[in-house]
Amino acid sequence: MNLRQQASAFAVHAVLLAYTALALAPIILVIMNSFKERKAIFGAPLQLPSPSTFSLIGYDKVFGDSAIASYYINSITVTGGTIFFTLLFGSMAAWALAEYKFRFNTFLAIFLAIGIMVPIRLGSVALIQLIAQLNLINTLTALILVYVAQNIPLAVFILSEFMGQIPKDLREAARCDGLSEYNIFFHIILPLLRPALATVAVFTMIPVWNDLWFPLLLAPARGKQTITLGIQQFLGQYITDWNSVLSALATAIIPVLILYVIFSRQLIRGLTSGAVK
Amino acid sequence: MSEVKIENLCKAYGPVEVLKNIDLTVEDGSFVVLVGPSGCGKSTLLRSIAGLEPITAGNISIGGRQVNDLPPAQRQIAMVFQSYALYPHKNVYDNMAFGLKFARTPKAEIDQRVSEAARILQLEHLLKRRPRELSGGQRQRVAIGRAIVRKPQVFLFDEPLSNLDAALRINTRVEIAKLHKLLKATIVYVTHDQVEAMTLADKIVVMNNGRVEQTGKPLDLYYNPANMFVAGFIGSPAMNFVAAKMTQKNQLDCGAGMKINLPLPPACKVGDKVTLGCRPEHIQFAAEGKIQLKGNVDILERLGEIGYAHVSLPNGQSIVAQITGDPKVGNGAPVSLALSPTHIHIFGEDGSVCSAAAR
Amino acid sequence: MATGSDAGLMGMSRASYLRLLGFFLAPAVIIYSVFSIYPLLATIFSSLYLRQIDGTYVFNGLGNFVTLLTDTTWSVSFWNAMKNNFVFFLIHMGVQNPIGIALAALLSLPQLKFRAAYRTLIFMPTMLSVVIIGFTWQLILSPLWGISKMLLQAVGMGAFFAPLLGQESTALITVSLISVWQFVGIPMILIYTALLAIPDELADAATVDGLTQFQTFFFVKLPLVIPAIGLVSVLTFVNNFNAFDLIYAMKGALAGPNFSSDIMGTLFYRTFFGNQLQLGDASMGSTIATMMFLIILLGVMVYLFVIQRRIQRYSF
Ligand SMILES: Nc1ncnc2c1ncn2[C@@H]1O[C@H](COP(=O)(O)OP(=O)(O)OP(=O)(O)O)[C@@H](O)[C@H]1O
Ligand SMILES: [Mg+2]
Repeated sequence: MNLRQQASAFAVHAVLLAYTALALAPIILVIMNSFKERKAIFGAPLQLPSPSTFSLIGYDKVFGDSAIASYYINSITVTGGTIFFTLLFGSMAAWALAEYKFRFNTFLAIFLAIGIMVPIRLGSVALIQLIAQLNLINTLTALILVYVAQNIPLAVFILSEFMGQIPKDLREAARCDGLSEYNIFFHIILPLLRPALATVAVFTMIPVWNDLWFPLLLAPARGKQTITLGIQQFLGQYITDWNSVLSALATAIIPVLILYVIFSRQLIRGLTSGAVK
Repeated sequence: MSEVKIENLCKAYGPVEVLKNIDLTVEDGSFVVLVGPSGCGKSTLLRSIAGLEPITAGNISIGGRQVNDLPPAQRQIAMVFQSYALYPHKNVYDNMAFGLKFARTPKAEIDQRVSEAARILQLEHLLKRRPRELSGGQRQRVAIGRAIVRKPQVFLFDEPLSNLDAALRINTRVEIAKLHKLLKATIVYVTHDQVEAMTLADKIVVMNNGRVEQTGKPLDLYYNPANMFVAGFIGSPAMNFVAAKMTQKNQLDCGAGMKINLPLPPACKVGDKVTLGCRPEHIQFAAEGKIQLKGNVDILERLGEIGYAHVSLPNGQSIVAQITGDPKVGNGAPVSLALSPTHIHIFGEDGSVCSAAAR
Repeated sequence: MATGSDAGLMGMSRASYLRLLGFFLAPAVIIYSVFSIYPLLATIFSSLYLRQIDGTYVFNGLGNFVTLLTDTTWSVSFWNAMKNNFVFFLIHMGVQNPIGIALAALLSLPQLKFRAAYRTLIFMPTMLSVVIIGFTWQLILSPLWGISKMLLQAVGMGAFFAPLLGQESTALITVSLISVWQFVGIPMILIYTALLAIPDELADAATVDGLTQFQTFFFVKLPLVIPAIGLVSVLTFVNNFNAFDLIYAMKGALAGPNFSSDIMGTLFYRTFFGNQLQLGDASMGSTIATMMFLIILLGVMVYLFVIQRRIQRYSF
């Protein structure tokens, strides 16, 4: 490496480091200060908690006062349920559209594609009435149904692309082997689709976990809130109690952060669909 | 009894006719090879037999049973695909056992059949491996094994060797020939490769453009091609064709003063435009002989024991002659060619043969 | 397959073929139709009705749209939200996407060390909920906490400190930039992926031709990732005209101060659910949702039929 290259490599790292710092600083700031007592939060916000300033008073409030655990359980239920049904129904539909010829094949493909671009949120007025008629207001079922409807189009789209990469010979070999169409799907196609399913799961999971709109509209009742809505309401309630606010934020951030660090490789690979070098 | 009988089979994709009135009988225990240029419908025919493609018209029966409307699994066939189509998420054993499991075959019998096939194909030490941990040749054998365990009436192969390198291809070809003997199986086999066709087949079916051009024993096709297409397709390098005209009862005029004395074939009359065909291996450098052509050497390709001379004739056409040894002729040198009279083919204007040369 | 367009599979009766199709397609199609397409159409439909004092609805044609666009009780807030939404979008296009492209370019440099670490860390804010991000920034920018003031003072610009979220002139821009900060990871990853798909030989050829790395990026790689940039743009458009969470989390449904950060999503929410100032109105709510639908549709159409058609695609 000559001097010029070294200089430019240095510049590249300087820029990337600076941006990384900008991306992380606010998050670190919140987590750091959530472990301090009130005086230190205001007196020296940029310092790490020290033995003299360390305090868990905010967390006491968060875990004592509110139903944090139930928020998490609700969010996990909704996100998990959504992922499961999106993957199952989405891959089934993608398979039928890719494999079978029938009169409405193209029409159905276009019909489903509409949902990729048009946000389901815009139908909220009628959706809320529908959910009310079905007696599903304030149920997690309502959220799962809506999120599955919202995510199926993209799932079908991505899975169809992957489906095309499974060699035709393989399905025909299975037909020669005497498998029924159902068995071909569940025993050959679905296992081979695993990487694609992971990608779709990532695309589905993040927006669902983070969504505020539909929990606010469809399941705002006590005990049914997801973590995003729950934290939002908690923050609104305790806005002047800085310890609680910071701890609540940290409580919402830290689990996601841990999961993200563990799964970031798979996640980014999912987002870049295998193109990562 | 596992004869395959195809009668008047037609297959169209929308308006495109891909198979046109195919009639074909594959006798019980015979090895039939389908050859023909790319896109002529070989795979489509094979897949129609397998039941992977619905047919437009005609009849297919296997072992005396009409199978037109049966799904592949009920036709008692097994197919070996060009890409092998091994299930990537199953190991070798499970790949072979997969179909049997779904057919509710008893576990003991599955075990017995798989180990039998593994023994025949020397796959015993590989049973626990996944397909991606196998070499091309091993994958090929697993694909064949998967076919064997089904104990089918008919084996269908679609270019099974084309993904192998040259040396392995020869090995596997011999293996398949042995396997045919051992299993006494009825086999329909598609290939591009002439040598495979000639060496493996009891009967070759030459297809072109959705039709069967000729069916016969390998050497019959070689010596007695029914038309110019088969004549040109079978044999390598390909047969030479020279445009000519019957000018007299026993004379053929090839233009530019080249006249050949040849008795008028029964199906021709004086004045007909014909094509004269002769294989390179039946043309030699020689100044005497009943049928002579003169020309200039364009290029000599020496392959060792034999070689090929590309010679341009006075009428502008170019023909290939086989040479032996190392004739001392330079490029552009004039040469005399002697055509073996018993290996001359005369084709009429429609391409069909007028006179097959006697062997 | 053979003749008819519903021709089944070999050896399968028509009935069992239809059963097969039904089994695979019905769950997805039904859930999607009932919970996505039906509400959308019903919402558009109800935008054509007007609510009477007695709670019944009468057909009003396009009357609600005329009201929304011309009657000053509605049109002032509508056009304000519309204008703000465009500002919101333009800031994303002008700041988020260029930064995203630049980061992607740096990340895709050959032989870059710590590539995965940078990628992972810069993408992190995108993973978090908008609500969390909104509150976090609210705290940081709050004059009460004073962190931003301290930081500005540290670099000698203490005089520039202002309650950015509290002033009419800066609230919208500030919120937009926070959204940019959070979502810059998306254009970064999409364009990074597109850059990786370009074969290395192409960059090598450019190097042999004497181009610097910088020139190679601008003249060889950037033109090849234009389709990805087009996709990023339309995604940005759809997301921006559908945004709600961040403003709601930071500024509440009233999108203050004095509606200066009001966008279509918050206007829609306020109209439909009502707030301190007015009662909820399903008809006008639907009307606004329909307008949002039309705007997004227009954007997507422009992308599909104008932009995407003109974009030259290359396959490697
Ligand atoms: N699904 C299809 N739809 C329309 N035409 C098809 C379809 N499948 C094959 N064909 C056409 O049918 C013809 C025969 O195809 P087929 O695959 O049988 O050829 P082939 O003889 O096996 O060729 P190759 O030697 O290249 O494998 C080709 O012209 C092909 O274009
Ligand atoms: Mg073929």
